[in-house]
Amino acid sequence: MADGGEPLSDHKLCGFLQAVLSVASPPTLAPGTTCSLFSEGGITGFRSDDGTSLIPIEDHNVKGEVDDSVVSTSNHDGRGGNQGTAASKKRRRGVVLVNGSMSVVHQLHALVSHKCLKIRARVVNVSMREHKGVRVVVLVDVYLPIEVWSGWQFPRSRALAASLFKHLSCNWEMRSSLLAFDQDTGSYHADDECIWGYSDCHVLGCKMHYITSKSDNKMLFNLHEIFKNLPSIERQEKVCSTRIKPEDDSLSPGIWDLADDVLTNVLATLGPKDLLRVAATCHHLWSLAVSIMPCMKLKLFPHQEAAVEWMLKRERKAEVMEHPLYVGFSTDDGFSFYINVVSGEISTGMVPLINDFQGGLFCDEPGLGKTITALSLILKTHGTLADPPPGVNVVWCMHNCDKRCGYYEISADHFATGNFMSMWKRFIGQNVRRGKASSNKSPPDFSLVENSESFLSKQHCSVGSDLPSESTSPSCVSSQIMSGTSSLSMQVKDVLGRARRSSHVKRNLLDTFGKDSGCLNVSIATETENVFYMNTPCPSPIAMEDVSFPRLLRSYKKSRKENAGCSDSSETWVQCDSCRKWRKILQISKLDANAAWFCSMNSDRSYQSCAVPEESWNYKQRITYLPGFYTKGTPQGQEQNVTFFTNVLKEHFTLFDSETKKALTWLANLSPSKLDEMEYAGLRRPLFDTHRVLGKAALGCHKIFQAFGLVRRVEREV
Amino acid sequence: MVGVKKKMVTLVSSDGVEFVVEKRVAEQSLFIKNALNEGGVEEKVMIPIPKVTSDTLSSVLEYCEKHASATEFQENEIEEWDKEYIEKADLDLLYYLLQASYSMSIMGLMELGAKKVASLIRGKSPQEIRELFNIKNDFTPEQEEEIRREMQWNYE
Repeated sequence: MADGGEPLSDHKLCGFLQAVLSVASPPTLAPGTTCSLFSEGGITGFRSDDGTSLIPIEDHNVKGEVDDSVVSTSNHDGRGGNQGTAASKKRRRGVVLVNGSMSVVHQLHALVSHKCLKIRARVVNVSMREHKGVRVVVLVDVYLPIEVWSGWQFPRSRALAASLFKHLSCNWEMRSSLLAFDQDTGSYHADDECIWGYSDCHVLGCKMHYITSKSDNKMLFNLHEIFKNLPSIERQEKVCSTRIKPEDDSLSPGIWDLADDVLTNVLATLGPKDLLRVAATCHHLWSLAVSIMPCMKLKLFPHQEAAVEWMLKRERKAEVMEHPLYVGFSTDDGFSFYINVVSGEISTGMVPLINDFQGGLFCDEPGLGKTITALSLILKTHGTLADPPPGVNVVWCMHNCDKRCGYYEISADHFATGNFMSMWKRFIGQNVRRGKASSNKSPPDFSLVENSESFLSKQHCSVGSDLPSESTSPSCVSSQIMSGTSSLSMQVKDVLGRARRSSHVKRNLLDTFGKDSGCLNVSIATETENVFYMNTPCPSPIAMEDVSFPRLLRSYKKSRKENAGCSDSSETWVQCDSCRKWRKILQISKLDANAAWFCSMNSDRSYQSCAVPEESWNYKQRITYLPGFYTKGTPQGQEQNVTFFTNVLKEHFTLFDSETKKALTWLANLSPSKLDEMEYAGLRRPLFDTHRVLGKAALGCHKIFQAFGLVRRVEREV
Repeated sequence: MVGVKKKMVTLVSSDGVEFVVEKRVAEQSLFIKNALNEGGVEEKVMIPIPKVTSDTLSSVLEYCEKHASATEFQENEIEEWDKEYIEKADLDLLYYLLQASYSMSIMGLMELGAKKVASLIRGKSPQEIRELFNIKNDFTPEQEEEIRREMQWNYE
């Protein structure tokens, strides 16, 4: 506390402030008189060495509130009894933070009594006015323990400390000039105007709480006032002294002879993509291109241009910046530290950094043309795609033999480890039956359209010529945030998958299920004459750690041998990564389970385009091959299992359609380990999606699944 | 007096060649039109056209003549003519035409030329554009890297 003149040995002077207090008696205080905090009978204030009490200025409008907050924060039961403790406790929460203009004297008292800091207070100015009493300015030095530099934090009342530190200054020169008054006794600042124009916080010259008149208090919550105080971007004046420079120093005529207006005219006729390319040629064209909104006949107003520029900046790669909440301070001997002005955390050494986010809010007054501005942004970014998130590998492959497609995998689970590619398991739909797992309508596929956005993006990929498609790997719940404008731009009809920031959610069903589903053990059974019974060849319940395609295929082939009846069972189906259609392929050897596959890679000429509809599923056809089920732990092929299975299917006979068949096929294809998992996890999302998208049809298989004891897991996120 | 005497205007190119054209042809250029209005409707006016050489001016006047009588032609006929006209201009003439149309404020010709230049640019990579127009790449490697990153998906 204020303990005479000696510096505090284990503390460092970290900042100072000047508080304005009132004094009842006529001023007999000499400058430099030290004072200490006191609190009795509900009144907190300073007491000078000679016994004069300096108390906070009474403000009838705020007094009650201030006192309450002090009572609660400093754990002093007080305020003279006209307010009970219960009442003040009730108000305790929030009052400190919300009431930013709480008197600094109370804050200091609370913090000192909580041993958060130490102070030294000295009178530096006294001012007297008739009818208004006497005001005293006290210079308060705030000391923090030396342990701050070894990780010390405020033991409590951090928010309070944070709000106190907002008032602190580290202008040490100013402090010493204030203390210079020690020498010339009796003379105070001539200009005492600011002493009388005090604010609620009682800090001299406080900029934050300057608006103190009653009407202004209301204005604080006026939206307009708030927005007025927000920092806005200032448009940089374009320095247009540049010219296009010729490659050689030839004096022949060239594009550099053209006036800027002509060049602007030229650029304005270009599409977004070409505009970008031209802009990349030289400085001058770059600066000209900035203000051009491709495909737009309108000329934007300067404020709109500035907004587009700003939004473009926000959409680009997020920067790492200094944490805006940390305010830097330095001690009088030059040690710097930072305090979070909201949470009160202290940080020393480096400035705390924070990753800026992408995107932002675009707010303008009504009528200023937000729509046009937003459209301009879309047009401006039309043709560019989002940067891939850091750490992902973009895989390029050829689409339609001449167009390059890029994609990357991203997974929520593996984001931290950066282990993206291993997440990627291409599901090659190896169908067991004639017919197939088909399209995103089919249950076995379950690659349902997650939402309209991802659907759109898929569309884009399929058309998206030389543009890469981004895809996220199966189990990933979309981990990218899509900025508003791009989602909009994706809906612009011919965007062709080149939104700036788009997130695609790709779900391959089996993968999804491979992770979190599993229930009954499955074995593959054959079926004759419409009756299902257990035969149990099949991927016997060997422990398969990680079911990958080749494995399934092998086991499948094995089962085929045993069931000579199913000749068509070795069909291999692949799902196009762009249009999600299933294609039957002839040469399995060509498949690379780690790479994307597109319709264009199909060796079957009739199915080489994403536009070609999927091979139809002939559901009139009899099921000649269908897997069967048996309860876990029991041997395969038991009579009761066969009966159970048959019964279930018979019961739901009416529900059979292509979708149901696909669903069953899918279920049969699950590996035992997956099924084990499903037992705990339950059926997951795909079924739900099926239900949503397909309605009735999906309901069929859903019912059958339920009959088998597979219940959809309750999704947390749904 | 018989018949309507065509009002003629004399234009002087930067290299001193005089062109005598009908007023309505010359008035395709807003610049000349304004000059004529300011100077009162006098015959035998001499209007100097600075910065435009005789070669360019003759080409510009060819365009003006066609468009001055545009009403006599079908819409698509004019379009066809425009296309042919700009097609035969080489790159140097194109610059001159653009510059001339700008200084003489002939909006139609400027647009035509701008479209032509744009069509030359379309579909080319930045490097190709630089080579085409002989533009010096004045970005520092860092700036270029920045730009490349920005248009990464679009660059090649």
